[in-house]
Amino acid sequence: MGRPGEKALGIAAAPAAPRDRPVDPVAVALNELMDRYACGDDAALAELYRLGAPRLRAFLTRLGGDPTAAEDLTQDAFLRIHRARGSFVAGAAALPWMIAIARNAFLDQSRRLAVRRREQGDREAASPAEAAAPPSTRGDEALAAREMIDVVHATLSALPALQRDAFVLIRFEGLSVAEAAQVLGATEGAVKVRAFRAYEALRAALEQPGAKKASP
Amino acid sequence: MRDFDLSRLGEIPDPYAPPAADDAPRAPDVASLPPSRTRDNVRSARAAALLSALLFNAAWIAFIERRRDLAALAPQTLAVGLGIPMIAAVVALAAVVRRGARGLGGRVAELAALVCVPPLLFAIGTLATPPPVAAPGPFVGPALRCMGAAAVLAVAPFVVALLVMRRSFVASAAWRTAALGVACGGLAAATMSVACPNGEPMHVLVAHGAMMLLVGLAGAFAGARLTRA
Repeated sequence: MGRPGEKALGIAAAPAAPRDRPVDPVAVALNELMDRYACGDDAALAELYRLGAPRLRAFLTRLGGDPTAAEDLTQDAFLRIHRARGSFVAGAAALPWMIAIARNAFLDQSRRLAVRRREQGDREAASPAEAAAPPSTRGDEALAAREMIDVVHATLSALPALQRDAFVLIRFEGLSVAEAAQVLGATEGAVKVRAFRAYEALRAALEQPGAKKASP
Repeated sequence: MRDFDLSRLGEIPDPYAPPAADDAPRAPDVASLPPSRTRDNVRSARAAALLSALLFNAAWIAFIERRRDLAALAPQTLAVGLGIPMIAAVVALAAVVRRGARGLGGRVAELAALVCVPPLLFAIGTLATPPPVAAPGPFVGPALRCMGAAAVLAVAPFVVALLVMRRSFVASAAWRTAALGVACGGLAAATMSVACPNGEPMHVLVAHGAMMLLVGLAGAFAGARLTRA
């Protein structure tokens, strides 16, 4: 890409493709912990939460753009995980399973909010893009990096939900296209197209001079 | 033809890199959480639900309603009447219990096929195996009566199944709950083939088999709210 700030964001080190990613030790640990928890080992919850909550919180922040709401949703997601633990299949991948539950929590909350807004006639609800600012970065290229993540943040928030979800799952959560398709309940082809459309939109936004201002 | 090259997705920076695991707040105390079923509990409950559904349908035949010509019925006629809807029910049940490569259930296309094929199989099988002697008589009255019986036979196990499968499907909940409804409808249709002597294809399709569609639709649109994790 060659834009200033990329080094600060570690983009050069970003994996080329999800399938090329090294084995995620957290995901492996989560598999074992979730399996124990599903079998009734309550002691596994603390470690499951310690390793899983940051991943779910980050995922939910990417979906909604609001870290505070993501915190509450993470609690909700873990309550759902606790209630559904018996249906976790032995030997299954825990992270996609947990992410699917977190997404269900997010969708339910979005529907509840939409209904409440309709009922209250509140047309001035803050958009997710305005609800929170992304975390700041450090280093010499902090300003350029900050501008880039602002552009990504704003563009992600403005993307259609289906495209955003597909992109977030594949790019940021490290799921394969097949896993993302199962989480989203869509075909692999559809997920691939959605993720690529999102990539094109983000790419265009990042390449636009003054993109930060132009983005919704 | 466009090339959807996802290898380039890595170019997009992550505005929300996950914080370190140590930053996470403390896990909730298990004792403060509502009770939840373990894997063994879930397995036992599912087996019990399946057994109770079979027993309920068997009890219907034993105590409520049984065709009078059952003893005189040719074995192949009985096998076809019972077999087609039972195969349909088993196919639909495969969508419910399908593990999938990642434990999230089957792919959407597979689930859709497993939900849509059983009613088609039942319809084609019923039309392809008409009774040797047509039974003359009115259509609507007997059809409504049989639909009522089939509704009881399908809905009661479906309600039990919904309770047992609550919060079980993390993905594709609508398809999998629809499959559950189709399976219960198929079981009811099989029972009706032993309970009702009317083998007219239209009667069997409408009065015995409609519950596969109706309960399946109820599962997709209403039941999924209960079964989604």
